[in-house]
Amino acid sequence: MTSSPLRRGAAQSAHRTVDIAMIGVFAALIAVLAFAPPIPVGSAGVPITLQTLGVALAGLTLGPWRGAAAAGLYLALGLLGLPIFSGFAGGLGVLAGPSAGYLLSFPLTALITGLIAWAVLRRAQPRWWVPLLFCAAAAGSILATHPLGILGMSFTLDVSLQEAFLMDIVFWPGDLAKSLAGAGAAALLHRTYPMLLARR
Amino acid sequence: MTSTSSEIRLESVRVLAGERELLAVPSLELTERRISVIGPNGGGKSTLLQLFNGLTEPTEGWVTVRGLDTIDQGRQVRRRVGFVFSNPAAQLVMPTPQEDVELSLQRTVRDRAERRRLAAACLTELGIAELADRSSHELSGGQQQLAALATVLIQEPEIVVLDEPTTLLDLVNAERFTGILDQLAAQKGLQIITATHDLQLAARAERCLLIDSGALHSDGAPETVIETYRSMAAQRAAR
Amino acid sequence: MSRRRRPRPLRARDQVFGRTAPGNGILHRTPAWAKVAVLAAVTVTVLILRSPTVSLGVVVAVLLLGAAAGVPPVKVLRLLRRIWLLLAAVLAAQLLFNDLAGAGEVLSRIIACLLGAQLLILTTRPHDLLGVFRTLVLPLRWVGLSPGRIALAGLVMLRAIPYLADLAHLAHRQTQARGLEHSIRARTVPLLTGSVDYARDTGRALAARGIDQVRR
Repeated sequence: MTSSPLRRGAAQSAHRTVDIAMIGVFAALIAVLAFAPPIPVGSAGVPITLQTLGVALAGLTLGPWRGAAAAGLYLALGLLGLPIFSGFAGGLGVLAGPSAGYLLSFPLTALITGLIAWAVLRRAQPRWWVPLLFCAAAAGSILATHPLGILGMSFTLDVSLQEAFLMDIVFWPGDLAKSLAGAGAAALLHRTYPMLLARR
Repeated sequence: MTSTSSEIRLESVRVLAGERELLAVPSLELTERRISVIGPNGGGKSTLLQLFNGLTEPTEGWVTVRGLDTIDQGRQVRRRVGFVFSNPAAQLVMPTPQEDVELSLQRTVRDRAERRRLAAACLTELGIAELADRSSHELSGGQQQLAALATVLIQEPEIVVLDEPTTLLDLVNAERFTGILDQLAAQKGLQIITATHDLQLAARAERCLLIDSGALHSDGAPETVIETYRSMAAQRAAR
Repeated sequence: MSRRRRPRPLRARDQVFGRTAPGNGILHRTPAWAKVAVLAAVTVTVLILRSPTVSLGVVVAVLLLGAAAGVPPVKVLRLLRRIWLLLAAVLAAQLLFNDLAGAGEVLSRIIACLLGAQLLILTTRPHDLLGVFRTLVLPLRWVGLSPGRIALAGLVMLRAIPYLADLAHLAHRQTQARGLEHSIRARTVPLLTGSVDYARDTGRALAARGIDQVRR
């Protein structure tokens, strides 16, 4: 905002409510992408859905804090019992399933992706945005989604970490494709809506 | 802060987005009951309307509503100025219109039963009592827009600003919506400011503003201003 | 070719919120917080005990309780049809890395927990769950977060799901029309811009109404 900080009016409060609405809408976006029919892959059968694409998009478009809040809201309401996880499952019961670790990682994934994405979007030239945003999405998934997902499978499926790691490998190609698509879409979006970047 | 001051007053207002000037209005006073705002897309209509309730802040200059500054006394201004947007779906957040109208009262009316009664009365007044407990998502665009109007009117504003309220409605619903608006303006003595692409609707006002390229292009009786707009559009289309 | 096609645009939203089993049985009348609490206790018990007997007992109890409350077992079990591939893959993994007994234990545990949750989903309105959520986030006040704003974000989310589901459906149709149905990006971009527009419009409309949180 260009006005002096002493004059606090509706415009500031509009920013705050738009932030709240962004968090709610992106939580909904993760849910809607999760509704696309899941494609179970690999020996453990964790479904590949566009759900993780939604998480990456939350971090890439909203930045670390609002992105993590959106993923957290999605996770919290899903665990409470809204049928918004893939396959229209929901409730604490999913913590018994193979996807438990992946689901719990979502807020952290969005946070990491968002931190890197915001650094990229504020410093790098727009022509570097797509490759660097891809790195942001991939980093979130490598540092948070997969480690926690492997831990989760090893716990719920009674297998060793090595075995869980082997099952996790099958998601990598799909994940890279999703990260790339997410980076392309997000770069396009930030060029259309510079207002998104003005916020933390 | 006298009640004799004009309804809405803009003084040497400029709105900038970074370096770019979105709108510049040296001086404007709006006292008429029915005012319409027309002009091409991206010309600054929405920016002008959002100045009236402080959703957009003037980078330079002052905007006052009945003597209240839209920034320094933003809360009081927003209580007096209701705002209806063009996308009907995005204005409702509760599962049903009844609950949405109640949500508007959460700060002013503490008693839940009283909120329920007032909300039901408001929906009845707008002729949509039968929609009160329907799912907001299942309503048609026209019904949603009437429900959105109810969430605004329940706060008893003195001024209602509408940003292309009928753009997404079909003809029947648009007619119904403006009909109800006319009726309310007469009954409650509301000041109504409408931005629209519907020139017939624009012609029903007492005064019409043509906003183009971030400036007030012309201002006056609807017939003349609309005629100016028509010839401007014809010229540009021919180019 | 069939002469009549099913009306399609409604599908997306039916899939989301048409899932409560209508009725007024004992479970429908039980407050949402009680159901959430019982489900949490059952889930934790099943996860800790890891005993096939207990898990199968829970499955039977869920089906009996559902039937008593007017929810036919078929409706509860329908979930298994939606996730059968996942269950089959879990079974395969267990047979590969563990043994048959292990497979039985893991599968029964997963099914018990998911079916318990399914009973909650089928008998509870989403907005009642949001009410429980609002209570649960109240302590966040102490770390400087506003429960009223979190609750408002939850409300916006519930409203946005059917809206975005329609939008996703439309985006899918558009990519089909242009022969781009395999492009994730072509399906994502309209959905993403639609989401941002919708959030911005909703946020502004709420600000204009002076609403920035939900009060109790």
